[in-house]
Amino acid sequence: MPNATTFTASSDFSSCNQYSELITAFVDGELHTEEETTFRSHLHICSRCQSSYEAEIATKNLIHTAVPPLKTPWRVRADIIEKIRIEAGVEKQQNPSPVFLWWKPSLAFGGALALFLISFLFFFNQEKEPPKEISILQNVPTKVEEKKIASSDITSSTASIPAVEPLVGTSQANVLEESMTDFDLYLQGKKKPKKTSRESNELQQFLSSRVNFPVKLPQMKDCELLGGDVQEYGSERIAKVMYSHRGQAMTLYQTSLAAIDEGDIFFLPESIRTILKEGSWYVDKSDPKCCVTMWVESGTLFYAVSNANSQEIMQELSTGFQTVSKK
Amino acid sequence: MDLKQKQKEFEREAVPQMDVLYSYAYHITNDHDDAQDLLQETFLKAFRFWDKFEKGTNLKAWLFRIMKNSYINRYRKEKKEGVSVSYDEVEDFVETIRDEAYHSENLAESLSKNLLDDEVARALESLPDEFRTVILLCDIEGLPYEEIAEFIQCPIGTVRSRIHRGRKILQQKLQTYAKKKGYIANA
Repeated sequence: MPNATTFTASSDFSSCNQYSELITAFVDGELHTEEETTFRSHLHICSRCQSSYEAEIATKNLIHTAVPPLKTPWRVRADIIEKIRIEAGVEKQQNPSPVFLWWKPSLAFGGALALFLISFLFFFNQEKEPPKEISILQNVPTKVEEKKIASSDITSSTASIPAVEPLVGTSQANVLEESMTDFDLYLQGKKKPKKTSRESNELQQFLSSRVNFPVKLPQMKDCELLGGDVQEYGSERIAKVMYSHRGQAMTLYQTSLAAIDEGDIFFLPESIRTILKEGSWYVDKSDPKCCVTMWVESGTLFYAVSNANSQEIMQELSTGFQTVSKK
Repeated sequence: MDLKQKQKEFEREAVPQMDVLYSYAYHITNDHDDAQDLLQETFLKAFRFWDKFEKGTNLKAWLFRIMKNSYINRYRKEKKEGVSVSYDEVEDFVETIRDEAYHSENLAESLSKNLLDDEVARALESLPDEFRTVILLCDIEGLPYEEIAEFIQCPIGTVRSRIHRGRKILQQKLQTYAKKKGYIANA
Protein backbone atom coordinates (compact mmCIF):
# COMPACT_ATOMS: atom_id res chain seq x y z
CA MET A 1 0.00 0.00 0.00
CA PRO A 2 1.65 3.25 -1.07
CA ASN A 3 2.43 5.78 1.54
CA ALA A 4 0.56 8.87 0.51
CA THR A 5 2.96 11.24 2.21
CA THR A 6 5.76 10.22 -0.17
CA PHE A 7 3.67 11.16 -3.17
CA THR A 8 5.03 14.08 -5.15
CA ALA A 9 3.79 15.87 -8.22
CA SER A 10 5.50 14.34 -11.21
CA SER A 11 4.84 13.39 -14.80
CA ASP A 12 6.69 10.12 -14.38
CA PHE A 13 4.38 7.29 -15.54
CA SER A 14 5.83 4.75 -13.12
CA SER A 15 4.82 7.11 -10.34
CA CYS A 16 1.31 7.21 -11.85
CA ASN A 17 0.97 3.46 -11.63
CA GLN A 18 2.32 3.37 -8.13
CA TYR A 19 -0.20 5.90 -6.89
CA SER A 20 -3.17 5.18 -9.11
CA GLU A 21 -5.30 4.33 -6.07
CA LEU A 22 -5.09 7.98 -5.18
CA ILE A 23 -7.27 8.71 -8.20
CA THR A 24 -9.96 6.55 -6.64
CA ALA A 25 -9.75 8.32 -3.31
CA PHE A 26 -9.69 11.69 -5.07
CA VAL A 27 -12.85 10.83 -7.04
CA ASP A 28 -14.54 9.81 -3.78
CA GLY A 29 -13.40 12.92 -1.94
CA GLU A 30 -11.38 10.82 0.47
CA LEU A 31 -7.94 12.42 0.12
CA HIS A 32 -6.50 14.54 2.92
CA THR A 33 -6.01 18.19 2.05
CA GLU A 34 -2.26 17.80 1.64
CA GLU A 35 -2.58 14.73 -0.57
CA GLU A 36 -5.23 16.42 -2.63
CA THR A 37 -3.14 19.53 -3.28
CA THR A 38 -0.20 17.41 -4.44
CA PHE A 39 -2.41 15.19 -6.52
CA ARG A 40 -4.10 18.14 -8.26
CA SER A 41 -0.68 19.50 -9.21
CA HIS A 42 0.19 16.16 -10.75
CA LEU A 43 -3.12 15.93 -12.59
CA HIS A 44 -2.37 19.22 -14.38
CA ILE A 45 0.80 17.86 -15.93
CA CYS A 46 -0.09 14.22 -16.53
CA SER A 47 -2.45 13.40 -19.39
CA ARG A 48 -2.44 9.72 -18.50
CA CYS A 49 -3.76 10.35 -14.99
CA GLN A 50 -6.27 12.83 -16.40
CA SER A 51 -7.71 10.13 -18.70
CA SER A 52 -7.73 7.68 -15.87
CA TYR A 53 -9.43 10.21 -13.59
CA GLU A 54 -12.10 11.00 -16.17
CA ALA A 55 -12.76 7.30 -16.80
CA GLU A 56 -13.11 6.68 -13.08
CA ILE A 57 -15.51 9.60 -12.61
CA ALA A 58 -17.53 8.31 -15.58
CA THR A 59 -17.65 4.81 -14.10
CA LYS A 60 -18.77 6.09 -10.70
CA ASN A 61 -21.48 8.26 -12.28
CA LEU A 62 -22.63 5.44 -14.55
CA ILE A 63 -23.08 3.14 -11.59
CA HIS A 64 -24.95 5.73 -9.59
CA THR A 65 -27.29 6.52 -12.49
CA ALA A 66 -27.84 2.95 -13.63
CA VAL A 67 -28.34 1.48 -10.18
CA PRO A 68 -30.02 4.13 -8.05
CA PRO A 69 -30.52 3.67 -4.30
CA LEU A 70 -33.96 2.37 -3.40
CA LYS A 71 -36.47 3.38 -0.78
CA THR A 72 -38.13 0.75 1.36
CA PRO A 73 -41.69 0.16 0.10
CA TRP A 74 -44.08 1.45 2.75
CA ARG A 75 -45.92 -1.79 3.18
CA VAL A 76 -42.61 -3.56 3.89
CA ARG A 77 -41.69 -0.92 6.45
CA ALA A 78 -45.13 -1.23 8.00
CA ASP A 79 -44.88 -5.00 8.23
CA ILE A 80 -41.52 -4.81 9.98
CA ILE A 81 -42.62 -2.11 12.43
CA GLU A 82 -45.78 -4.04 13.16
CA LYS A 83 -43.84 -7.26 13.82
CA ILE A 84 -41.44 -5.44 16.13
CA ARG A 85 -44.32 -3.88 18.03
CA ILE A 86 -46.05 -7.22 18.34
CA GLU A 87 -42.81 -8.75 19.62
CA ALA A 88 -42.52 -5.91 22.12
CA GLY A 89 -46.13 -6.54 23.13
CA VAL A 90 -47.25 -2.99 22.40
CA GLU A 91 -49.38 -3.63 19.34
CA LYS A 92 -53.05 -3.01 20.01
CA GLN A 93 -54.55 -5.88 18.15
CA GLN A 94 -58.15 -5.06 19.00
CA ASN A 95 -57.90 -1.38 18.38
CA PRO A 96 -56.36 -0.85 14.99
CA SER A 97 -54.93 2.55 14.28
CA PRO A 98 -54.67 4.20 10.89
CA VAL A 99 -50.95 3.55 10.82
CA PHE A 100 -51.57 0.96 8.12
CA LEU A 101 -52.98 3.65 5.90
CA TRP A 102 -49.77 5.52 6.04
CA TRP A 103 -47.33 2.70 6.01
CA LYS A 104 -49.23 0.37 3.80
CA PRO A 105 -50.35 2.44 0.86
CA SER A 106 -51.09 -0.65 -1.14
CA LEU A 107 -53.58 -1.69 1.53
CA ALA A 108 -54.89 1.83 1.79
CA PHE A 109 -55.13 1.91 -1.93
CA GLY A 110 -56.84 -1.45 -1.97
CA GLY A 111 -59.34 -0.05 0.52
CA ALA A 112 -59.77 3.08 -1.56
CA LEU A 113 -60.21 1.00 -4.66
CA ALA A 114 -62.72 -1.23 -2.93
CA LEU A 115 -64.70 1.78 -1.74
CA PHE A 116 -64.52 3.29 -5.17
CA LEU A 117 -65.77 0.09 -6.73
CA ILE A 118 -68.52 -0.10 -4.17
CA SER A 119 -69.62 3.42 -5.01
CA PHE A 120 -69.43 2.79 -8.69
CA LEU A 121 -71.36 -0.41 -8.56
CA PHE A 122 -73.88 1.09 -6.25
CA PHE A 123 -74.51 3.84 -8.76
CA PHE A 124 -74.51 1.87 -11.94
CA ASN A 125 -74.50 -1.79 -11.57
CA GLN A 126 -76.58 -3.07 -8.70
CA GLU A 127 -78.29 -5.81 -10.68
CA LYS A 128 -75.26 -7.17 -12.43
CA GLU A 129 -72.84 -9.87 -11.42
CA PRO A 130 -69.70 -8.46 -9.84
CA PRO A 131 -67.13 -8.11 -12.57
CA LYS A 132 -63.44 -8.42 -11.80
CA GLU A 133 -61.65 -5.33 -10.53
CA ILE A 134 -59.60 -4.81 -13.62
CA SER A 135 -62.55 -4.91 -15.98
CA ILE A 136 -64.42 -2.40 -13.86
CA LEU A 137 -61.49 -0.03 -13.86
CA GLN A 138 -61.11 -0.30 -17.58
CA ASN A 139 -64.76 0.33 -18.23
CA VAL A 140 -65.46 3.07 -15.74
CA PRO A 141 -67.08 5.96 -17.58
CA THR A 142 -65.32 9.29 -17.21
CA LYS A 143 -68.61 11.05 -16.61
CA VAL A 144 -70.89 10.19 -13.74
CA GLU A 145 -74.54 10.85 -14.43
CA GLU A 146 -76.17 12.71 -11.61
CA LYS A 147 -79.63 11.39 -12.24
CA LYS A 148 -78.52 7.92 -11.20
CA ILE A 149 -78.19 8.99 -7.58
CA ALA A 150 -81.38 8.28 -5.72
CA SER A 151 -82.49 10.84 -3.14
CA SER A 152 -82.95 8.04 -0.61
CA ASP A 153 -79.22 7.48 -0.69
CA ILE A 154 -78.54 10.91 0.71
CA THR A 155 -78.22 10.80 4.45
CA SER A 156 -78.96 14.00 6.31
CA SER A 157 -76.47 15.18 8.88
CA THR A 158 -77.27 15.67 12.52
CA ALA A 159 -76.33 18.43 14.94
CA SER A 160 -74.23 16.41 17.36
CA ILE A 161 -71.27 14.32 16.33
CA PRO A 162 -72.79 10.97 15.44
CA ALA A 163 -71.16 7.66 16.08
CA VAL A 164 -69.21 6.22 13.20
CA GLU A 165 -68.43 2.67 12.41
CA PRO A 166 -65.12 1.58 13.88
CA LEU A 167 -63.00 -0.59 11.70
CA VAL A 168 -62.62 -3.68 13.83
CA GLY A 169 -60.35 -6.51 12.87
CA THR A 170 -58.08 -9.11 14.31
CA SER A 171 -55.08 -7.30 12.91
CA GLN A 172 -54.30 -4.22 10.89
CA ALA A 173 -53.28 -6.36 7.98
CA ASN A 174 -56.89 -7.51 7.59
CA VAL A 175 -58.23 -4.09 6.72
CA LEU A 176 -58.06 -4.72 3.01
CA GLU A 177 -59.78 -8.03 3.50
CA GLU A 178 -62.49 -6.29 5.52
CA SER A 179 -62.94 -3.68 2.82
CA MET A 180 -63.33 -6.42 0.28
CA THR A 181 -65.84 -8.19 2.52
CA ASP A 182 -67.77 -4.93 2.72
CA PHE A 183 -67.56 -4.76 -1.04
CA ASP A 184 -69.26 -8.14 -1.32
CA LEU A 185 -71.93 -7.09 1.17
CA TYR A 186 -72.67 -4.03 -0.92
CA LEU A 187 -72.94 -6.14 -4.02
CA GLN A 188 -75.34 -8.48 -2.27
CA GLY A 189 -77.42 -5.50 -1.21
CA LYS A 190 -76.84 -6.25 2.48
CA LYS A 191 -75.07 -2.97 3.12
CA LYS A 192 -75.20 0.56 1.75
CA PRO A 193 -72.52 3.23 1.51
CA LYS A 194 -72.61 5.71 4.33
CA LYS A 195 -72.96 8.64 2.04
CA THR A 196 -73.18 8.85 -1.71
CA SER A 197 -73.28 12.31 -3.12
CA ARG A 198 -71.84 14.36 -5.91
CA GLU A 199 -72.72 17.60 -4.13
CA SER A 200 -69.62 18.79 -2.31
CA ASN A 201 -71.52 21.05 0.11
CA GLU A 202 -73.80 18.25 1.14
CA LEU A 203 -70.94 15.80 1.56
CA GLN A 204 -68.86 18.35 3.42
CA GLN A 205 -71.72 18.88 5.87
CA PHE A 206 -72.03 15.13 6.34
CA LEU A 207 -68.33 14.65 7.00
CA SER A 208 -67.84 17.81 9.11
CA SER A 209 -70.60 16.77 11.47
CA ARG A 210 -68.77 13.54 12.23
CA VAL A 211 -65.25 14.76 12.83
CA ASN A 212 -63.67 17.46 14.97
CA PHE A 213 -61.35 19.01 12.39
CA PRO A 214 -62.01 21.15 9.29
CA VAL A 215 -62.92 19.06 6.24
CA LYS A 216 -62.27 20.43 2.78
CA LEU A 217 -63.86 19.31 -0.48
CA PRO A 218 -62.66 21.65 -3.20
CA GLN A 219 -63.68 21.51 -6.83
CA MET A 220 -61.11 19.78 -8.98
CA LYS A 221 -61.14 19.94 -12.75
CA ASP A 222 -61.24 16.30 -13.75
CA CYS A 223 -62.20 14.68 -10.47
CA GLU A 224 -65.76 13.45 -10.14
CA LEU A 225 -66.98 13.36 -6.58
CA LEU A 226 -68.51 9.99 -5.76
CA GLY A 227 -69.10 9.89 -2.04
CA GLY A 228 -67.59 9.90 1.39
CA ASP A 229 -67.35 8.11 4.67
CA VAL A 230 -65.99 8.56 8.17
CA GLN A 231 -64.34 5.74 10.03
CA GLU A 232 -62.81 5.44 13.43
CA TYR A 233 -59.32 4.07 13.96
CA GLY A 234 -58.44 3.81 17.59
CA SER A 235 -59.01 7.27 19.00
CA GLU A 236 -58.84 9.03 15.64
CA ARG A 237 -61.43 9.59 12.97
CA ILE A 238 -60.64 9.79 9.30
CA ALA A 239 -62.82 11.33 6.63
CA LYS A 240 -62.54 9.62 3.26
CA VAL A 241 -63.65 11.27 0.08
CA MET A 242 -63.81 9.21 -3.07
CA TYR A 243 -63.30 10.57 -6.55
CA SER A 244 -63.11 9.20 -10.05
CA HIS A 245 -60.32 10.71 -12.09
CA ARG A 246 -60.65 9.82 -15.77
CA GLY A 247 -61.72 6.33 -14.86
CA GLN A 248 -59.10 5.85 -12.16
CA ALA A 249 -59.70 5.96 -8.43
CA MET A 250 -58.56 8.67 -6.04
CA THR A 251 -59.34 8.73 -2.36
CA LEU A 252 -58.63 11.80 -0.30
CA TYR A 253 -58.14 11.04 3.39
CA GLN A 254 -58.39 13.82 5.94
CA THR A 255 -57.65 13.72 9.62
CA SER A 256 -56.61 15.92 12.50
CA LEU A 257 -53.15 17.45 12.31
CA ALA A 258 -52.58 16.37 15.91
CA ALA A 259 -52.57 12.76 14.71
CA ILE A 260 -49.11 13.11 13.19
CA ASP A 261 -47.65 14.16 16.52
CA GLU A 262 -48.75 10.94 18.16
CA GLY A 263 -46.33 8.23 17.20
CA ASP A 264 -48.73 5.49 18.15
CA ILE A 265 -51.25 6.68 15.60
CA PHE A 266 -49.10 7.83 12.71
CA PHE A 267 -45.59 6.60 12.83
CA LEU A 268 -44.03 9.15 10.53
CA PRO A 269 -40.29 9.58 10.19
CA GLU A 270 -39.07 12.89 11.57
CA SER A 271 -37.99 14.04 8.10
CA ILE A 272 -41.55 13.72 6.77
CA ARG A 273 -43.06 15.36 9.86
CA THR A 274 -40.72 18.28 9.32
CA ILE A 275 -41.70 18.57 5.67
CA LEU A 276 -45.37 18.59 6.56
CA LYS A 277 -45.00 21.05 9.41
CA GLU A 278 -43.05 23.40 7.16
CA GLY A 279 -46.12 23.54 4.96
CA SER A 280 -44.65 21.51 2.11
CA TRP A 281 -46.27 18.50 0.56
CA TYR A 282 -44.73 15.07 0.43
CA VAL A 283 -45.03 12.71 -2.51
CA ASP A 284 -44.11 9.06 -2.36
CA LYS A 285 -43.78 7.14 -5.59
CA SER A 286 -42.03 4.09 -4.17
CA ASP A 287 -44.96 1.94 -5.22
CA PRO A 288 -45.29 2.38 -8.99
CA LYS A 289 -48.94 1.35 -8.92
CA CYS A 290 -49.94 3.81 -6.25
CA CYS A 291 -49.31 7.54 -5.88
CA VAL A 292 -49.46 8.87 -2.33
CA THR A 293 -49.33 12.58 -1.58
CA MET A 294 -49.49 14.13 1.86
CA TRP A 295 -49.74 17.69 3.08
CA VAL A 296 -51.14 19.82 5.89
CA GLU A 297 -53.52 22.70 5.43
CA SER A 298 -55.69 24.68 7.84
CA GLY A 299 -55.09 22.31 10.72
CA THR A 300 -55.98 19.20 8.73
CA LEU A 301 -53.69 16.47 7.52
CA PHE A 302 -54.55 15.37 3.97
CA TYR A 303 -53.33 12.40 2.04
CA ALA A 304 -54.40 11.42 -1.41
CA VAL A 305 -54.02 7.87 -2.67
CA SER A 306 -54.56 7.08 -6.31
CA ASN A 307 -53.77 4.67 -9.10
CA ALA A 308 -53.95 7.51 -11.62
CA ASN A 309 -50.93 9.21 -13.13
CA SER A 310 -49.19 11.01 -10.28
CA GLN A 311 -48.51 14.18 -12.28
CA GLU A 312 -52.15 14.43 -13.28
CA ILE A 313 -53.22 13.89 -9.69
CA MET A 314 -50.83 16.60 -8.48
CA GLN A 315 -52.28 18.97 -11.06
CA GLU A 316 -55.78 18.17 -9.88
CA LEU A 317 -54.88 18.68 -6.26
CA SER A 318 -53.12 21.95 -7.02
CA THR A 319 -56.35 23.37 -8.43
CA GLY A 320 -58.15 22.62 -5.19
CA PHE A 321 -55.57 23.12 -2.48
CA GLN A 322 -53.56 26.20 -1.70
CA THR A 323 -50.64 24.32 -0.17
CA VAL A 324 -50.22 22.10 -3.20
CA SER A 325 -50.51 24.94 -5.71
CA LYS A 326 -48.03 27.27 -4.11
CA LYS A 327 -45.18 24.73 -4.05
CA MET B 1 -34.65 -1.76 29.74
CA ASP B 2 -38.26 -2.88 29.42
CA LEU B 3 -39.62 -4.08 26.10
CA LYS B 4 -41.64 -0.98 25.35
CA GLN B 5 -38.69 1.29 26.01
CA LYS B 6 -36.52 -0.96 23.86
CA GLN B 7 -39.06 -0.84 21.05
CA LYS B 8 -39.29 2.95 21.15
CA GLU B 9 -35.53 3.35 21.19
CA PHE B 10 -35.16 0.86 18.35
CA GLU B 11 -37.76 2.62 16.22
CA ARG B 12 -36.12 5.97 16.89
CA GLU B 13 -32.58 4.85 16.09
CA ALA B 14 -32.61 1.77 13.87
CA VAL B 15 -35.74 2.21 11.76
CA PRO B 16 -34.43 5.41 10.05
CA GLN B 17 -31.57 3.29 8.64
CA MET B 18 -34.03 1.03 6.83
CA ASP B 19 -33.79 2.57 3.36
CA VAL B 20 -30.06 2.13 2.95
CA LEU B 21 -30.34 -1.47 4.14
CA TYR B 22 -33.26 -2.25 1.87
CA SER B 23 -31.39 -0.79 -1.07
CA TYR B 24 -28.34 -2.87 -0.25
CA ALA B 25 -30.48 -5.99 0.26
CA TYR B 26 -32.06 -5.54 -3.14
CA HIS B 27 -28.75 -5.02 -4.87
CA ILE B 28 -27.21 -8.14 -3.40
CA THR B 29 -30.24 -10.37 -3.94
CA ASN B 30 -31.57 -8.84 -7.18
CA ASP B 31 -35.05 -9.76 -6.09
CA HIS B 32 -37.63 -7.61 -4.30
CA ASP B 33 -39.14 -10.50 -2.32
CA ASP B 34 -35.75 -11.75 -1.18
CA ALA B 35 -34.74 -8.21 -0.28
CA GLN B 36 -37.88 -7.79 1.83
CA ASP B 37 -37.32 -11.09 3.62
CA LEU B 38 -33.71 -10.22 4.25
CA LEU B 39 -34.60 -6.76 5.54
CA GLN B 40 -37.23 -8.18 7.87
CA GLU B 41 -34.90 -10.86 9.19
CA THR B 42 -32.20 -8.25 9.77
CA PHE B 43 -34.47 -5.89 11.71
CA LEU B 44 -36.08 -8.59 13.80
CA LYS B 45 -32.66 -9.98 14.70
CA ALA B 46 -31.37 -6.49 15.43
CA PHE B 47 -34.35 -5.84 17.71
CA ARG B 48 -33.82 -9.11 19.59
CA PHE B 49 -30.14 -8.33 20.05
CA TRP B 50 -30.59 -4.60 20.61
CA ASP B 51 -29.14 -4.94 24.09
CA LYS B 52 -25.91 -6.21 22.53
CA PHE B 53 -25.45 -3.13 20.39
CA GLU B 54 -22.72 -0.99 21.85
CA LYS B 55 -24.07 2.56 22.11
CA GLY B 56 -21.86 5.16 20.50
CA THR B 57 -20.55 2.77 17.85
CA ASN B 58 -21.73 2.80 14.25
CA LEU B 59 -25.30 1.54 14.16
CA LYS B 60 -25.52 1.39 10.39
CA ALA B 61 -22.39 -0.79 10.20
CA TRP B 62 -23.83 -3.06 12.93
CA LEU B 63 -27.06 -3.49 10.97
CA PHE B 64 -25.12 -4.10 7.77
CA ARG B 65 -23.14 -6.85 9.43
CA ILE B 66 -26.31 -8.54 10.66
CA MET B 67 -27.69 -8.32 7.14
CA LYS B 68 -24.56 -9.65 5.54
CA ASN B 69 -24.46 -12.62 7.91
CA SER B 70 -28.14 -13.33 7.32
CA TYR B 71 -27.57 -13.14 3.60
CA ILE B 72 -24.65 -15.55 3.74
CA ASN B 73 -26.57 -17.97 5.95
CA ARG B 74 -29.86 -17.84 4.19
CA TYR B 75 -29.54 -16.85 0.58
CA ARG B 76 -26.08 -17.47 -0.68
CA LYS B 77 -26.29 -21.16 0.11
CA GLU B 78 -29.45 -21.43 -1.97
CA LYS B 79 -28.03 -19.57 -4.93
CA LYS B 80 -26.02 -21.37 -7.50
CA GLU B 81 -22.53 -20.08 -6.98
CA GLY B 82 -20.85 -18.61 -10.03
CA VAL B 83 -17.27 -19.37 -10.93
CA SER B 84 -15.20 -18.56 -7.93
CA VAL B 85 -12.54 -15.94 -8.54
CA SER B 86 -9.76 -15.54 -6.05
CA TYR B 87 -8.63 -12.13 -4.94
CA ASP B 88 -5.13 -12.70 -6.37
CA GLU B 89 -6.52 -13.67 -9.76
CA VAL B 90 -8.54 -10.49 -9.87
CA GLU B 91 -5.55 -8.44 -8.80
CA ASP B 92 -3.49 -9.89 -11.66
CA PHE B 93 -6.34 -9.26 -14.01
CA VAL B 94 -6.56 -5.63 -12.92
CA GLU B 95 -2.86 -5.17 -13.59
CA THR B 96 -3.28 -6.44 -17.15
CA ILE B 97 -6.21 -4.17 -17.94
CA ARG B 98 -4.75 -1.07 -16.41
CA ASP B 99 -2.65 -0.08 -19.40
CA GLU B 100 -5.38 -0.89 -21.86
CA ALA B 101 -7.78 1.40 -20.05
CA TYR B 102 -5.26 4.21 -19.94
CA HIS B 103 -4.61 4.02 -23.66
CA SER B 104 -8.25 4.25 -24.61
CA GLU B 105 -8.83 7.83 -25.55
CA ASN B 106 -12.18 9.35 -24.65
CA LEU B 107 -13.08 6.26 -22.69
CA ALA B 108 -15.13 8.30 -20.25
CA GLU B 109 -17.18 9.89 -22.99
CA SER B 110 -17.77 6.63 -24.83
CA LEU B 111 -18.94 4.86 -21.69
CA SER B 112 -21.21 7.68 -20.56
CA LYS B 113 -22.87 8.19 -23.91
CA ASN B 114 -23.45 4.70 -25.13
CA LEU B 115 -24.08 2.21 -22.38
CA LEU B 116 -27.50 1.22 -21.18
CA ASP B 117 -28.37 1.11 -17.50
CA ASP B 118 -29.01 -2.63 -17.76
CA GLU B 119 -25.52 -3.22 -19.10
CA VAL B 120 -24.00 -1.29 -16.23
CA ALA B 121 -26.17 -3.15 -13.70
CA ARG B 122 -25.20 -6.47 -15.25
CA ALA B 123 -21.52 -5.61 -15.13
CA LEU B 124 -21.84 -4.66 -11.47
CA GLU B 125 -23.72 -7.84 -10.69
CA SER B 126 -20.94 -9.93 -12.20
CA LEU B 127 -18.26 -8.48 -9.90
CA PRO B 128 -16.85 -10.78 -7.21
CA ASP B 129 -18.51 -10.12 -3.83
CA GLU B 130 -15.49 -8.40 -2.27
CA PHE B 131 -15.57 -5.72 -4.94
CA ARG B 132 -19.32 -5.51 -5.49
CA THR B 133 -19.98 -4.84 -1.81
CA VAL B 134 -17.62 -1.87 -1.55
CA ILE B 135 -18.79 -0.43 -4.89
CA LEU B 136 -22.44 -0.74 -3.82
CA LEU B 137 -21.78 0.97 -0.52
CA CYS B 138 -19.60 3.70 -1.99
CA ASP B 139 -21.13 4.52 -5.36
CA ILE B 140 -24.79 3.69 -4.78
CA GLU B 141 -25.33 4.30 -1.09
CA GLY B 142 -22.73 7.05 -0.89
CA LEU B 143 -21.10 5.85 2.33
CA PRO B 144 -17.68 7.21 3.29
CA TYR B 145 -14.69 4.86 3.36
CA GLU B 146 -14.66 4.89 7.15
CA GLU B 147 -18.19 3.48 7.40
CA ILE B 148 -17.52 0.93 4.69
CA ALA B 149 -14.40 -0.15 6.57
CA GLU B 150 -16.47 -0.67 9.72
CA PHE B 151 -19.00 -2.66 7.78
CA ILE B 152 -16.56 -5.03 6.09
CA GLN B 153 -14.26 -4.92 9.12
CA CYS B 154 -11.17 -4.08 7.10
CA PRO B 155 -8.70 -1.17 7.18
CA ILE B 156 -9.62 1.94 5.16
CA GLY B 157 -6.68 1.22 2.83
CA THR B 158 -8.29 -2.10 1.88
CA VAL B 159 -11.57 -0.34 1.14
CA ARG B 160 -9.81 2.12 -1.15
CA SER B 161 -7.88 -0.63 -2.85
CA ARG B 162 -10.99 -2.74 -3.45
CA ILE B 163 -12.99 0.18 -4.79
CA HIS B 164 -10.12 1.04 -7.11
CA ARG B 165 -9.84 -2.50 -8.40
CA GLY B 166 -13.60 -2.97 -8.59
CA ARG B 167 -13.97 0.11 -10.75
CA LYS B 168 -11.14 -1.03 -13.01
CA ILE B 169 -12.84 -4.37 -13.58
CA LEU B 170 -16.10 -2.58 -14.29
CA GLN B 171 -14.42 -0.26 -16.77
CA GLN B 172 -12.99 -3.23 -18.57
CA LYS B 173 -16.36 -5.01 -18.68
CA LEU B 174 -18.14 -1.90 -19.87
CA GLN B 175 -15.49 -1.35 -22.52
CA THR B 176 -16.08 -4.89 -23.72
CA TYR B 177 -19.84 -4.23 -24.03
CA ALA B 178 -19.16 -0.99 -25.85
CA LYS B 179 -16.74 -2.67 -28.24
CA LYS B 180 -19.16 -5.51 -28.96
CA LYS B 181 -21.78 -2.98 -29.90
CA GLY B 182 -19.37 -0.99 -32.00
CA TYR B 183 -19.43 2.11 -29.79
CA ILE B 184 -15.68 1.89 -29.31
CA ALA B 185 -13.37 0.79 -32.09
CA ASN B 186 -11.36 -2.35 -31.41
CA ALA B 187 -7.75 -1.55 -30.76
